[in-house]
Amino acid sequence: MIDFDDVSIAYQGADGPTLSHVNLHIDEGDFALVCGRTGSGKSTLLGAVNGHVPHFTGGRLSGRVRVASFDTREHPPRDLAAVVGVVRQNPLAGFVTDTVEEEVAFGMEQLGVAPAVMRTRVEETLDLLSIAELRSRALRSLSGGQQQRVAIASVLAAGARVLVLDEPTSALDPTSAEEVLAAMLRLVHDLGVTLLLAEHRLERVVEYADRMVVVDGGQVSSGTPAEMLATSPLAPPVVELGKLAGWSPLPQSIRDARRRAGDLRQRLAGLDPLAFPREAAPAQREVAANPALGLQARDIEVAYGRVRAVRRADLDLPAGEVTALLGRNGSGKSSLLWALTGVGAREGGTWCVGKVQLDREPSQARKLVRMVPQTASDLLYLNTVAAECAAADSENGREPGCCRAILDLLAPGIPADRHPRDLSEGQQLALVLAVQLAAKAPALLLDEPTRGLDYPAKAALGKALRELAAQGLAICVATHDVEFAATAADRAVVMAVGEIIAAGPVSAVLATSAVFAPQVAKTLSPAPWLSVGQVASALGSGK
Amino acid sequence: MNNRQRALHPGAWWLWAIGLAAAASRTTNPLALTLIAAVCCLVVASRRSDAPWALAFRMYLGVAVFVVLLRLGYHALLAGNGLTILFELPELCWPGSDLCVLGPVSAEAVLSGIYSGMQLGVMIVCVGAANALANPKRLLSATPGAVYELGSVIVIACAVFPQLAESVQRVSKARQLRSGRTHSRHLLREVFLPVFADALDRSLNLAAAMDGRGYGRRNTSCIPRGDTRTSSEIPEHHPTKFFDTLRGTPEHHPTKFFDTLRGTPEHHPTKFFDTLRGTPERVRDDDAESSAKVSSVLIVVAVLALCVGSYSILDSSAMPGGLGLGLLVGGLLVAGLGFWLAGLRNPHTRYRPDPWRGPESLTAICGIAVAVVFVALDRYGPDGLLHPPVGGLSWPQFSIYLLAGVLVAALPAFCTPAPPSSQEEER
Repeated sequence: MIDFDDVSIAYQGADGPTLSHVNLHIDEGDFALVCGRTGSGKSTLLGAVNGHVPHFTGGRLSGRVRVASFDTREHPPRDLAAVVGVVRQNPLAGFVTDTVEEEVAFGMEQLGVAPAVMRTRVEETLDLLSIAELRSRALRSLSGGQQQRVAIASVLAAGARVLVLDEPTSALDPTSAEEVLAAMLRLVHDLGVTLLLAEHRLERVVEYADRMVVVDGGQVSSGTPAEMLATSPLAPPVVELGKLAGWSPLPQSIRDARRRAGDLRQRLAGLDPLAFPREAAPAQREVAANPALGLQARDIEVAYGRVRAVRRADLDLPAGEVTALLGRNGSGKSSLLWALTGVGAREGGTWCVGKVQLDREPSQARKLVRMVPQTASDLLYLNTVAAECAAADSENGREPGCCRAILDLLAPGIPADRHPRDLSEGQQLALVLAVQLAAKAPALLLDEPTRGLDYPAKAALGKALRELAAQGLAICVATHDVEFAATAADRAVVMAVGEIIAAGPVSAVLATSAVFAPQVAKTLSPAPWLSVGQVASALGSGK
Repeated sequence: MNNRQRALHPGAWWLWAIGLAAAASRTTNPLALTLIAAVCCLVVASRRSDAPWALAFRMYLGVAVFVVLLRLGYHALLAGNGLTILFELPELCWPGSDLCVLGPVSAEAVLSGIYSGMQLGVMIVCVGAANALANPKRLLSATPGAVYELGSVIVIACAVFPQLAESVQRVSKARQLRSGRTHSRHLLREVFLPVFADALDRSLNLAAAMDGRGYGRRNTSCIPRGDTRTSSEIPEHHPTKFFDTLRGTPEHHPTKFFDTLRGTPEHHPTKFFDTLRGTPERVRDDDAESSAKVSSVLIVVAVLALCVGSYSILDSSAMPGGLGLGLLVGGLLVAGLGFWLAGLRNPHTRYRPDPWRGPESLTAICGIAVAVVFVALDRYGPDGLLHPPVGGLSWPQFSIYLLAGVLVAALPAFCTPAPPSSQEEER
């Protein structure tokens, strides 16, 4: 269905080709998972399928890309709309109309599908993706998972039999992500749709994939997931666990792993998970965790109009620890964090950092609480990394070079003359983190920092946060990524409909949860093992 | 159809409102104007939906009242000649001339202010009523096929504003996290740079998404095999959807007039239109080109005729009146023909276009009838009925024709289907 025949793609001004001599063949009805590090050429590969690269982006393509036997040289993306459907990470950015039904019909209107046919297809597609009850809703009012399903419906209705999805679930909470995945699987199984899916969080999808395509430095290799995972540096925790335990073939799902884990559970019996560090190289603690020095919030209330986003929340962020804030989309995590910065809306409640009581005035809170918002790049407005660092130093009254020194600790080697918007997501996050850390505030809040980060970038972020916590900062990370929380956080707080419903050590909160348990915990339950690193050091000590 | 809730075709509401506004422009009789405003309010109250644009009617009423007060103020304070002096204000005169303001305030000046203010105010109310009753997006999507793409662009541009406001809000909130400077020097850079970068990213994303979904495509050769239910099967007359809608035949059977134009009832295009539209299967390039040329020429001719026609209507000394009107009507017809021809080459179809049925025709006719009654009364009616004199300070005249004429416009409040409420499944 999709054929890449000796394809090389180079962008103007780039040092070398982004993809070189790619040969790839995806059969009709395959579910192919594309993975690779940020900047490896994954998006270019996906974009080439419908001719977006190079027709829209520019660049030079040699070789031949054929999809359903149409050559993308001769057919620009708009001509292929009836063949290939593309869904991107943020569906809202690609919506053209504003209600569900019109959006689903838009593609067909462009193709000139007869009105009667259009009518039946819209109905069928709405049912297929279980969004019929949303038909007259405004697109902006939908949840992320619903928006993603509408986006899939709208390309499917236009007749696309090849779906290309670029990280469709990276902004979704675990439950919404499951909804979208379930919908995609139904399309693959019932309609024989060919699916090409890029995803950083392999743990979610690898078990369903028929093929795995690994993009690394412009080179593309593909094979069955089991073959590819054995050698790939990017692998979900359950595969890492399998490698550690020496299982063959490697497990891809919790079910596989659990059936083979009896032996491992036995070897680990009698060992206390809490005695082992969860990451490979634990940070050296300079100060002991101290709740009295951290941030304490009592009875925080946030309301927007008649919607009560946060209801009487009590939150403790001990100094020296990383707290993960979990919960589904719209459960009030962001509202709570914004309220604690003094900038966001707050109806009531008090909070203090150490002994200092904070009030409504944002300038006072800013000295003690710093936050990295969801769209981190909103904080960047200068032309170069060096200028941003200098501005951060002068804003906070630090000696010149302070922010740059922090940045070099977080992400070494970012060129000083690079434009901040040209940095990769991970580097941009590091820059914003450095800018905010230059204030040397004792509390740091991060809203969804892991979206769009690959495994190594996430590991680097986790390590950086743990090192900062070891220096005595109180850190709170709102995240959907339970694997990240399981390795990087000491404490976990779960929110639902504006209330805090669980709080405590990570091992207590996450290991027993049905939704938020990391893969290792699911495999090795009931003992609360959380990460592969923890199991590795336990096994190492046993020998 | 009356017992089922559905939104009326937006064009019907606009024709109705334009008819009322045209009637209002013909009179300064406060009784007639009040009646027109009351009819607007009645229809809006009974037939508007609970969508955001429908809630703006109150704002239009406010603007209308403001206009009346403003006109009243100007007339009372600036144009002070009249016989019946209500009260005197100190007069301010420009030194060395007879340019004076304030001074005596006459009842006649107050009355003429109210009359002319009401005329303008009621016209504003009519426009407001149309805005409240018709969904602006549906109106844009009812644009002729030839300007389909322009219509979509306008819809998208309108959708950008709330997004832009949202981004400004988000960035300025984020800015407080970092520096908290509330003033000035850096404001432009700190807020607008991220907002513009954001807007640019967003438009590129949107453009890519639209491109990937077939926007702007002319070539329909890439319909995958096995999928036979697409363009080639569209009934041949689909490009005339706009005219079908206007004519109100849901089954899209062309009426006699268009049949004659387009050929036999079996939809075989005649030779001439065959060349214009190309073969029924696919427009050949050279044919498409010649068709494009013909429609462009027609539209240019139409625009010229419209310009000359409206000029001669406004300035009756330039040309004999009949010729101006003829040019105007002819221009409109030629423009319609040009758009129709251009639309024939447009491969798009519309999803669930608003139907034009009985209630739509009724609504449009009601509005136009009011305008006709007022024009007729203006020409043949008794003196002073539509323009009551302010001099004698008498109660303005009224007639049964006027009452009946305006009340006709209230019919849509009872004879059209109720709009769907947002909770319910639409239409």
